Amino acid sequence: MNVITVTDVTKLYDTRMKKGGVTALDGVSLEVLPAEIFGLLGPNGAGKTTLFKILLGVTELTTGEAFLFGLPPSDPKSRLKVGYLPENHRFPEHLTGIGLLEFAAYLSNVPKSEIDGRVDKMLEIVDMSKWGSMKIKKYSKGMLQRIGLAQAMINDPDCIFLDEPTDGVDPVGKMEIKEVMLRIRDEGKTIFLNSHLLSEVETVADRVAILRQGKVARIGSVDELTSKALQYEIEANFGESLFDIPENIGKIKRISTNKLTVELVDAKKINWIIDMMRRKDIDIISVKPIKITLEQSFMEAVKEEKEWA
Amino acid sequence: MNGLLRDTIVELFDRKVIWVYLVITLIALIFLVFSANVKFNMGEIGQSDSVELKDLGFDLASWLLQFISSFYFFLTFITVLLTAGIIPNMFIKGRADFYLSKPISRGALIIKKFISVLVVYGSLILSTGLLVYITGILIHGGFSTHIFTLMLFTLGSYFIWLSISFFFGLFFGKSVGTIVSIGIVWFCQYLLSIYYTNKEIAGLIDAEITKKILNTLYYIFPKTGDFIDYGDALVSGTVPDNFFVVYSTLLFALFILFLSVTYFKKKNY
Repeated sequence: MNVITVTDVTKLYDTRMKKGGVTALDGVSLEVLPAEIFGLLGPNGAGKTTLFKILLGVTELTTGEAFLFGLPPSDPKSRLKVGYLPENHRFPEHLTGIGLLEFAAYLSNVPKSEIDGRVDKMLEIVDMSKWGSMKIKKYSKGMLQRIGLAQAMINDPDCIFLDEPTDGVDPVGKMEIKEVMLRIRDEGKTIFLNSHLLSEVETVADRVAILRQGKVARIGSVDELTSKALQYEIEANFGESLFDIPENIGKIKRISTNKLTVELVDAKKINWIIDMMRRKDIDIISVKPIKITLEQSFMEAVKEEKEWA
Repeated sequence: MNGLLRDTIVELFDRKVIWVYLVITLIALIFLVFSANVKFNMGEIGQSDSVELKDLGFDLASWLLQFISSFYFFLTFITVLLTAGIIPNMFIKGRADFYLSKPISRGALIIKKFISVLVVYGSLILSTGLLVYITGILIHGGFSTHIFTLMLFTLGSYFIWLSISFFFGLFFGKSVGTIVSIGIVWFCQYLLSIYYTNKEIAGLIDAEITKKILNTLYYIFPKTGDFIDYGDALVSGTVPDNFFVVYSTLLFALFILFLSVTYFKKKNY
């Protein structure tokens, strides 16, 4: 069963002038599988946080369907095994770190007998044991993110929603949070990650969706999104060999004495190229798909948005 | 329930609200202590040098209850103002997500918070009043079981105001809006009460339709002032003809609480 299923979800916000005047999400569909880190990317205002809020029952969708562990977000039971670290959170400031974790445990139905043990464990995981007795209002941004992550994990969730988890955290803290995320994933749990740090998402996420103006612009594994659409770079000793590629196979993008860049109509057509090169006695050194960074993929998606606009 | 109750207590101490109650109680205690030493100079009417209140046949038990009634009224008023910000503060941007993303239904969350605030602040009001009353008895004597009637009506009064405060807190999401709305409700019920109980003023209105509207409004609106007056009447030994004011005002509080839950369930954050 999918952890998250979103089908054709639309969210309209009212403005002062018009009911449903702002489209935050426009027909979004995606699925998040168990034990994966799913990254949600998109420029500001793309609808990432709105999607989080819909799934967590904080705000209602306008049309479409959303399910968390097979239950609609309106059912509080759907959140029994869910943790959430909101963006720009403002936890109750009258509480200490320990107080916040105890309170979060209570609200998350953690059995009383387990609360103390879980609080200690979470403080240890986020390296906040020393500061647990301090009031939250005295915490730095980095400390707040750590305690926020701890409260999100207090109920031993099967799925954690992290909205900009490393925001305001120093590089060491970022590395630690990344390690925590990977460890959670390795424990068979799911992470739904919203981050504007593309390099961070690229290194931890298994699959990614890029939202653009409330729509899913791209979705797939990080490998799929970072592979330049069916382009291959072939390193070989071409020498004086000359050849052309039929249109039904693809086209040559660049060619030199030792490198050939081709764009194929189908990934399987690479075999035709290799066979043809063998027939011409060309020594093949390497064949590799051309990769781009997630950032480049993201920028392309955003560029498409501007062109579209 | 325990978690929200504990959170409400921690918040009470963190906001240093407890000092407000301590100072008010201290002032009331000082007043009682000094009142014990009040002596009237009776030389002018040919009696001995001075006499105390009780020597004049003054009903100290009744006076003490009236004093506590005023004390409770003031304390309830202060508490309504002090707790008006609890709900707006709970659901400010960035904090609402923390509560709403937990596996607890919105209805349960708001009702449990309501009960927690009622229990914590209600206990504070009642216990401080009781402390002042006990001190009064130790000084003046004259215990009356009517104190419990007074406590019940005070708690009822706070329950009504708290339900109104919760509704406006959820609706406006701001402490100022909540306090202003509470003030408007109080002012309206005060005017309606004057209209309904004062025949001379009611006689100034000729139009039947206006009378009907005002009468309807009086029945619908919470009659918080009259509610307290009923309590005072019972304490002074007068049994009112009917308890319509009490029932209808408590029903109003329950209705507005239901409205708060319904509205909260639909609200997007």
